Amino acid sequence: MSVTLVIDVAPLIRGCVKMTVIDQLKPCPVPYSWHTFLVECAGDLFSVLVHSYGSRQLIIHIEVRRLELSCNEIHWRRVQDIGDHAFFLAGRSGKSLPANKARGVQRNCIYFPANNSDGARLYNFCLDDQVLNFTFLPENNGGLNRLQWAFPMKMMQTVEEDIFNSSDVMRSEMTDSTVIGNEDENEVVSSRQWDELPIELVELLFPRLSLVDCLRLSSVCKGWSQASNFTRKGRVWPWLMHLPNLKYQSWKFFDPFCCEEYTLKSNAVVVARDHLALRFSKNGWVVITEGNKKVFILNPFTAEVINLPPLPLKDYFFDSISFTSVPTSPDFVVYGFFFQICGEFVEISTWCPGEEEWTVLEFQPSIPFFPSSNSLVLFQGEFYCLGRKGELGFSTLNWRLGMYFLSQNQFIRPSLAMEMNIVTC
Amino acid sequence: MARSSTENMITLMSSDGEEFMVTEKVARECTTIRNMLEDDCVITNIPLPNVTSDILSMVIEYCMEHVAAAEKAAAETAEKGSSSAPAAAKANKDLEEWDKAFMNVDVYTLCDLILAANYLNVSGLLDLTIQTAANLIKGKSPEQIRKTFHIQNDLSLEEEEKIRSQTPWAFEKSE
Repeated sequence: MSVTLVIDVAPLIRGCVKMTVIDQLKPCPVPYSWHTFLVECAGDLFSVLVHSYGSRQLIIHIEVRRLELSCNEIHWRRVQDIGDHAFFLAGRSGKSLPANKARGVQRNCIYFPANNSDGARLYNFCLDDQVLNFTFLPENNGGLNRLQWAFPMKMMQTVEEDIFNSSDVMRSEMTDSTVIGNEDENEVVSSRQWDELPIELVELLFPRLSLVDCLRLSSVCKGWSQASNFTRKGRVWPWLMHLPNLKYQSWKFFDPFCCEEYTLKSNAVVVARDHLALRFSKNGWVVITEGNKKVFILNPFTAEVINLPPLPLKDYFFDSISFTSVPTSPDFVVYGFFFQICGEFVEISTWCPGEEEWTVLEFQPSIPFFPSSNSLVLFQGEFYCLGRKGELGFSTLNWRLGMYFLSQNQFIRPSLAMEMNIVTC
Repeated sequence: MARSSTENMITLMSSDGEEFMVTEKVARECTTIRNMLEDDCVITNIPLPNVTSDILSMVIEYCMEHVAAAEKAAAETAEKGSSSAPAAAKANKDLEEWDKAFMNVDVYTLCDLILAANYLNVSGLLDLTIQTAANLIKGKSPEQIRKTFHIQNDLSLEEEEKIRSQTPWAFEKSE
């Protein structure tokens, strides 16, 4: 029989809980809840199950499974190792990042925010030793729907290109003076001038500084402004975007690894701030909904906003929403999935830039499909969605919709991906 | 530091002509010198035209301290058969304290030490000096960084504005 150990660590600023590993969660006499997340990582698909317990939402169990595909069968295999990656879960979506890309981030760890009686916490679950640590997050009145991981990667590429292009002329002018010290070894290098420090030495600073410090460094003087490749030399951290209940137009970002909070101004016209929810984020872009009808995609780092058409039906929202790439890319498509409560039909809505309304397709699965609350994950060209019983639904981009069924803890894949009937087009 | 009479001594000559006698072991802490010695094993006199005497003496001081610490640790391991973890931890901590005290220098000296550590390829010293500089930069605004390192702002108003406008949020809290 497995025993679950729960340690109350609420009074601590930083806590640490040793998790007992239980193979299968037994029926629990007190209320517990769970969240599942699908995460694509280095060519594999993972599901993460987070169980919490009681009214204080103590985390009691975390389980990671990897999808294994063989010729006829697929199944989830429980794993203790996600290698040199870290998972970042928030809201309904999960993403992965190589740990060496982000300083402060531990490999083989899962980071996720969760509410507790004493406020929102950021948990860090290390798979190596099964230890759960947490730190407190800054004030967040909006609940977990208003938290989303954002990686400012795309933004950094743009900055890098712009600075590089604009300083090409400057660079060639500067070359003469910077090379002297290296070529003529007989010259005494005792510049005692920081602005004459060779650029490759300035770049050594980047891995030791936060993103904001790197950005500020580049505006100190001409010489240092040349050192703009800090996304390669330095490390860009994932930030937790959240929406405090503020009257003015801005978004808050919390960098949990150096405990700093930043405010980004926004151009998005928002009427009802209280009804905002962050639904999904990818490549620096975040899908945000306002109430039941309005949906827009925002890049908080560049303040670009793309307004999507009003949602196709009244008084409902997608169970999950996702998009393929970045809005500037030609293959950009937004996907929204809506599952009827009885599981008898699935509606998939899509939108591409330039279209005035959503395209809605309805599918009838031959066996009812109940999605669990996780975002769609793009994996090997297909969108995957996890069902409540552990089954995996998927939709190919060319409009087949299939499902893997669960049977005795294994998915049995019907001879081919079972196609569903398209009811309306 | 115990010096056996058989140990090779190397003379390092600074840019201003001062000579420093060091053991080969200490000199080898500088990868640049180690490579020279490996190419030509009879070399005993190495001119270092890029390093002034005051900086070279500091680099040598750093190398000697680190060689001594490594020798001490090795001797203890040999004595007891295995190194005891608490003793090793204490030795590490002592060395860290020494490094910290060693970094109590002005920013001009720090800059020269970075250049010398890079030129002589002393990875430990380069790490230490770069980390020290990074610590001086953390959380500062561009203007504060200029002040700390005595840097003239040679960017035009337009150039500075252009850099800032790309990520205005990075500069909001700094002023």
